[in-house]
Amino acid sequence: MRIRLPGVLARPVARLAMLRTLVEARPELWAGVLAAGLAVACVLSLAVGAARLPASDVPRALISSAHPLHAVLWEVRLPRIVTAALVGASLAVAGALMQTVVRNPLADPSLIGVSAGAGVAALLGIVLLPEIALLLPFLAFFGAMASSAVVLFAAESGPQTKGPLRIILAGVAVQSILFACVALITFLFADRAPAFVGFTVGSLSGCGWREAGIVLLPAAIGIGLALLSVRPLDLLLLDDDSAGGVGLSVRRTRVVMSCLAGILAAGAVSVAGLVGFVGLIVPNWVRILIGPEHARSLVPCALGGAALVVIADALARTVVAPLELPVGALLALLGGPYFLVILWRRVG
Amino acid sequence: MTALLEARRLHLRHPRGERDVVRDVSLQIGRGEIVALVGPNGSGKSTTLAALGGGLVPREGEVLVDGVDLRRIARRKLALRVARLPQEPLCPEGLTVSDLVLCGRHPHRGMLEMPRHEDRHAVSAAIRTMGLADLRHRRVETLSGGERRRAWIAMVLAQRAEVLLLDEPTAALDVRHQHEVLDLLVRVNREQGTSIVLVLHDLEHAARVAHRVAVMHRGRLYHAGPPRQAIVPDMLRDVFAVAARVDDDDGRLRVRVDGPADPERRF
Repeated sequence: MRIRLPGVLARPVARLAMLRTLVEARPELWAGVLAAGLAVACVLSLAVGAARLPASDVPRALISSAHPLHAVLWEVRLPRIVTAALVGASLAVAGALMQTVVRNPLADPSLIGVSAGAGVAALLGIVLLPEIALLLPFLAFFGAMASSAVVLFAAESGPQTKGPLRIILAGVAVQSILFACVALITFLFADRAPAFVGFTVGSLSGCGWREAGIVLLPAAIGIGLALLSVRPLDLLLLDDDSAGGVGLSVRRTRVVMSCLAGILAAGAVSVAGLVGFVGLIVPNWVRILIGPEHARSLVPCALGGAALVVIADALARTVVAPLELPVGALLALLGGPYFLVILWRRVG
Repeated sequence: MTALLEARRLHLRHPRGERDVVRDVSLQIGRGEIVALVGPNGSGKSTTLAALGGGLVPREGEVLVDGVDLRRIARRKLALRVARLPQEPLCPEGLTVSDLVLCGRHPHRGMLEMPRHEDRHAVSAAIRTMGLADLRHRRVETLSGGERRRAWIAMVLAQRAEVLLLDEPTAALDVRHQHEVLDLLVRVNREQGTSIVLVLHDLEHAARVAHRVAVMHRGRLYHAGPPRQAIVPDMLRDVFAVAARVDDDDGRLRVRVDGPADPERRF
């Protein structure tokens, strides 16, 4: 059954359909489409908030210090948007790396214990050193790195390579231990629960230039090195024997790529808390649209993740203003159904 | 003259395995030679092949490439000389035939290099040799079993190694495609002088394509020699436990199995 569109909508929808055919023929264009989408999302996100301004005024407000919202944009909204974009890009690329490393589309950065490790470290920080809130992101970062190191060591030490399944199993084991710790700490120190909740649901509330700076370094290192490793990543998609046969050091590549994913996810988690979903869904979405080769899909992945988190955060802080929704929960609510629709349409 | 690839007194066990599945196997593969590994299930053929390609580290003994211990050669350098194709390779969804074949060029390319002229040339030559020119832009997962197998062989051909190690290249193919793949391998061997070691189950196929047949039995090398000396009724009785006749049918070896070697013990 065809749905008849009201006349007003017909032309823009036809234009969108044209764009879609164009992009389907040339998957490279997705990077451009997503970059444009990210830019639009940033401008719209800058325009909304407690004090709104028309989107067309955004450039002038950014440039002219005489504009009444100049300071708000530069000191509150822009750093938060930059943080959101970096967090989204990091999580999406980390997810893509993990899905390749374990050859399983259900993998995401939390698989190697990054989220759980960051969670335990952050909670310990909140409990033991509540005065030094500045320390929190660093604690979370090192907690994430430590737990992913344990997972990788358990999975890949020993004389022979054992296949990616061991990473999944070791990750599940380490995660369950750490989440038990999270539950214990939350239970024992229930009086400090409000501080925990913000971390576990994932939120960008209060992120400033400092947070943007904290996540920038791991994001730049992780995404940069991932872009330099597109070919080993492609080969990792073959089985271990075939990849080794064409000259790839399978285990080394797997460990290095997991480390990159760990660094990226640790950076994101350390400022935004446990934001799920992005790392799982964005790489799958990009793979369905563009295909599995990393040379073509990593950049769209980063852009898509960034745009998604920027949009979700803009919604999170405006939908029920002056309250803020946790961006992590909102992301899952928005993206889950959309992903189901894509799956259903591709399979059906 | 040193052999191109040589296994010296190999003792092999699987990672975390408790006993050796291959014991004291020595085998030499010369330049331009086709060697078929045959033997019953579980006799150690695939394990030996994996060790020859560096996919399994020997518990004892060594594998030499041109006289150099394989463990002392870097993976990429090794991939320039020895190419291997596992029994059930795994292809990621969405990869096209030419993408897959290009994977074989990995050892020839620098980390960040775009495919150069010779890479493209090797890829299209391998695709043409395997008769896949019309399918080069098709996704691998949409191909039939025979086409997919040929695509994988094209990948190892594009690697342009001196030795190809193929684990049951004809498994799960119908009669026509079995012959097609074997004929193509013989052609590659003749035209490019590539040595080939392949695991085969069909003894007549082994006799047809191989210069030498190596018979494995319970982890040991039972015999290695020209097909007509290796595939004989005595071997079939000892190794496969069947009573069989081996005839020459117009220059082609025919194996006729009559029944179990020991009539008391049924199959």
